[in-house]
Amino acid sequence: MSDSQSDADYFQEVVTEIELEARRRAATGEYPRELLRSLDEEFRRWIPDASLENGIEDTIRGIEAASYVDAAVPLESRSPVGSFTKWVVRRLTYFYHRHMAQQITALGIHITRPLRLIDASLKDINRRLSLVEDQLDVSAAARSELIASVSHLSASEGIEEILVKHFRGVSGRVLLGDLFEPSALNFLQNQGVDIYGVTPSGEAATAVDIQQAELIEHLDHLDNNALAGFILCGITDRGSLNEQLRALRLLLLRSRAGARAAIVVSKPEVLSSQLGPVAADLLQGRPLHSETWCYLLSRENASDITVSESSDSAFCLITATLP
Amino acid sequence: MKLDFVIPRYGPVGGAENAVGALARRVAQHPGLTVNLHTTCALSSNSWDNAETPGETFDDSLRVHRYLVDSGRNDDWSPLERRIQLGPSSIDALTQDQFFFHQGPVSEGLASAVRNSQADLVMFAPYLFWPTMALAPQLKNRAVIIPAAHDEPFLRLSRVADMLLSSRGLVFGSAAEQRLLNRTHSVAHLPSLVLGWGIENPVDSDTPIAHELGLSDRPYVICVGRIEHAKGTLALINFWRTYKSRSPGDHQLVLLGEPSVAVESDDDVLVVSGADDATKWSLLRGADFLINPSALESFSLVLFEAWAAGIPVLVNECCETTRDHVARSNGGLWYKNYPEFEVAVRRLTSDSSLRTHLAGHGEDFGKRFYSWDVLIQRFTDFCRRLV
Repeated sequence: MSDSQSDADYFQEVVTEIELEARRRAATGEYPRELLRSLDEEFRRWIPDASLENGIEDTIRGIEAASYVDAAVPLESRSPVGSFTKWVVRRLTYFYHRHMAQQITALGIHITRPLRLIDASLKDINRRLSLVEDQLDVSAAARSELIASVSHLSASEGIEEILVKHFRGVSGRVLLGDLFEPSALNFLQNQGVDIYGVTPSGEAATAVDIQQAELIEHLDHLDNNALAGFILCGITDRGSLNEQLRALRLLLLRSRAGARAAIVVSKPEVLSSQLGPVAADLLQGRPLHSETWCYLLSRENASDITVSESSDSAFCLITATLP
Repeated sequence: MKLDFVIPRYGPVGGAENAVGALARRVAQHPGLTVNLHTTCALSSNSWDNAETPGETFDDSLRVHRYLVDSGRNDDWSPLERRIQLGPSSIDALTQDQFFFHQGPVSEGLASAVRNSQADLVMFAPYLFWPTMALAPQLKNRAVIIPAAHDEPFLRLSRVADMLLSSRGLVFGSAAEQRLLNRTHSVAHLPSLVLGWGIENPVDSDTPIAHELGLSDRPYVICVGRIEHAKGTLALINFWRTYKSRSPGDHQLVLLGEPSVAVESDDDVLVVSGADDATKWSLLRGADFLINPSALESFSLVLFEAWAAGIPVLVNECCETTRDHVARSNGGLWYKNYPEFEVAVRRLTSDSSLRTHLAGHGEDFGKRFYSWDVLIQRFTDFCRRLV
């Protein structure tokens, strides 16, 4: 085990110990309910909703805690007369305050019940989705190893010049994704193309104008017509058919009229021979033939559809101009 | 290449302004770059009162231009701020403009300097103040925004989206900040850089401040930053007092920063305000660990200062940025409720070898990813690309 691994394990051990001990103390009733409620109130006041891991559950608990009204008003006062006066008032008005408090608590219960039902229903949907995912995702670990090896294939050799020619003079942002090594991006940037990259890999994201994100998630955040062009790659070799088609659909939506499109895809037979039959069979997705990409682009009324090959014949580059 | 920086105040004040000021100073030392910094004469973001002399000064190689504030905060600001806090998506553009005007600091001198700037790029930071909101959109292709944003209602205003979209690019303190901006506004396609901030060299000093404060023979933990609700300081004080009532001991909590709300010093909590850099570093070095209770951070420079001072950190788990730093560095611990806070504090106060271990990891992490050489190289590469 490496030093950094044992450090990480030690750190994780300490964090887990703290979480377990905190949970144990809370479960044994060591902290009065009133105390935790008042501490929680100020702590949660400035926490962004998005950061709440268990948002709905926490919110319901917050409503429940807030709807508990204590009719026993505090009696502390700086003078004994003050304390006594408060005690007398509390005794005289206790029936009234208790009645009000019970109604507010009842209201809280009525509010939280439907929320709990919605929460339970959402959890049930999540559980079913997880089951479906599990059924679909056989050998997930093996696949992720395979995907990692595919991810590092370099698609830039012999196609850079074609890309430069295709994107020369384009005014606006061009997206390159999924990107796994920045050399093609740097080359195009140096040729004056206003291009940026999206990569799921933290390592590649340290370069200039490369964002660490999943391509589809990134496309979800863009406005329509935000792009002047795109180079789709990476996901074309390793993504499922649905992912590949979704990425293309989103890219077409996010591209403005007349945008330039390029798709880099491994040749299926070359990829199979590089990976071997086992890896090729177990991959979640496989590259589509260049003919398929041409068909998909022509269905969108793209023009000037051209197919080129990399110098080692391992990749195809499909370029087109969108309507 | 000519670069201008525009920040509402310059000096050892404000987290983002301080960090951007330090960046400007370092960039100004880079050969081949001409760097100017434009700011106001104000130091306090509560009033924006003029506190410095207007005019031009040099801070090392950095040329600093200060302009008088024409209007700062007044009584109109507070109701607008409350309205936005309640529902930013329903606020019309005119009201938003009024809010940013009253948010301040408004300075016609600064505006004129920005309009006449000959720089290739003008960096504006942070997003929330009038100079960025009102002046950056006027430069369009030359304005680069350093938002220093966290998840708050103001960020969701439509005027903020307009301002960001009109910019040439964005520089973020952390990947968490970039993700936040990308999901809040449609800015994911803009040129951007996740940079982070560097820290100035720790000041060596033999200041007797710890002795003067009665801390020389008493262990303490420290929290550095503005003392206010939004920074989580009040929640921390509640947690700390509860902890002390349940686990009596010698440790004291030192709050080092300017109070926006009144906090009384007592045997458990000590408020230190108006401290200089030497005092800060001296108190950091003497502390057992630093607590950053804020859930609203875009970078949190103070974590890196703590690690440079040789102490670990305890952060709010609900803050994506600080939790990311701690998880990546193994330089501290986190908490998300009182029971976890209690257990973590007890562990950190009682286990000096754990403290040393965590602090060492934090320091390594800071040196590896946020040394000035690395930051300046990445920043200037990004600027060259934009130009």
